[in-house]
Amino acid sequence: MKVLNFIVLGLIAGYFIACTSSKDRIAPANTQQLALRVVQAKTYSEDKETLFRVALATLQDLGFSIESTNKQVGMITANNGGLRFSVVVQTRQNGLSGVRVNARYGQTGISDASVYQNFFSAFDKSLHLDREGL
Amino acid sequence: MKLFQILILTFLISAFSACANKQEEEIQKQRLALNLSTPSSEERAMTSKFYETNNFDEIYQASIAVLQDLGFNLETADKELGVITAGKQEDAAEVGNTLAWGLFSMVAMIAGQNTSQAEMIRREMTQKEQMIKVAIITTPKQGRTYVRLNIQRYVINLNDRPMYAETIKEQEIYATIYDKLSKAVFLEANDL
Repeated sequence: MKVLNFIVLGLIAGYFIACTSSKDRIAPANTQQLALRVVQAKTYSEDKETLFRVALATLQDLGFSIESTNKQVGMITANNGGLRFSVVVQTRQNGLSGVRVNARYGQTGISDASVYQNFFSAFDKSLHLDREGL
Repeated sequence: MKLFQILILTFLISAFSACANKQEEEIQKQRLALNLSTPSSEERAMTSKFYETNNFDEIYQASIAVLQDLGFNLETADKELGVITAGKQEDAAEVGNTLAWGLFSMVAMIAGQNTSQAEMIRREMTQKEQMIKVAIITTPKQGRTYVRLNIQRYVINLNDRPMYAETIKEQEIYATIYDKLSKAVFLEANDL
């Protein structure tokens, strides 16, 4: 009988919280736009085309398979065992260019700074090799 | 005792019929969608926004950046047409939905019903994941830049089967994204 009482209470509680929406996860209002960009983006003095080529090489170095590219937009999407990267290379002011990358693994957006540090570390090595003409 | 169990089952069904009806409504909406009804002017206003700038590039780049801010994977981009599409997979579990069908399964077990059948129903009716798809179209219009945003989601159940698909029509979700886009325009303009 006690079990049934618990069920009734659970049902009443459930009734009041029923239909709370998973749509809140579409665009969470509390996303820290600027804080995210600090770890996901880096500025370089090279031109957009060079950085685009280096980004492709870096993703290949890291074992990603390239899914789509758009040179005009500067966009590359790539996948490595369910880890998906979106890289965007843009022309910035004063002759600079920016690289922005965001990563996702299944249902989880990656906010761990070390993931982005590893990417940019590989990117910088790849850029160095490109400068050396290798 | 049996009467009490029947009463509980009746309560269970009635208490959660709101959610069940909601799913039925979604199915009805999908059927109606085949009629290709045009959106109301309110819906169009909710999903679009004019920016008082003729700098198309700025708005287009900011749109890409805001999708990255929100954790979307970029899928396609066509600058000539101003199109960007992106998607992300998110958890779709809702406390009410999970609890309701979990309790349904428990009550069925206590009432001596076929437990495997109850478990099958629970898995069919419990939301697991959602695939969210976004399309942004940016167009220069009479010295201004027009942005149109559409969001759809596909929800799957614990058996990894599709439950329903819907176009998002919540004003606050579009307002949040446009608010972030306005901030992104500022951040992009300042190379942040």
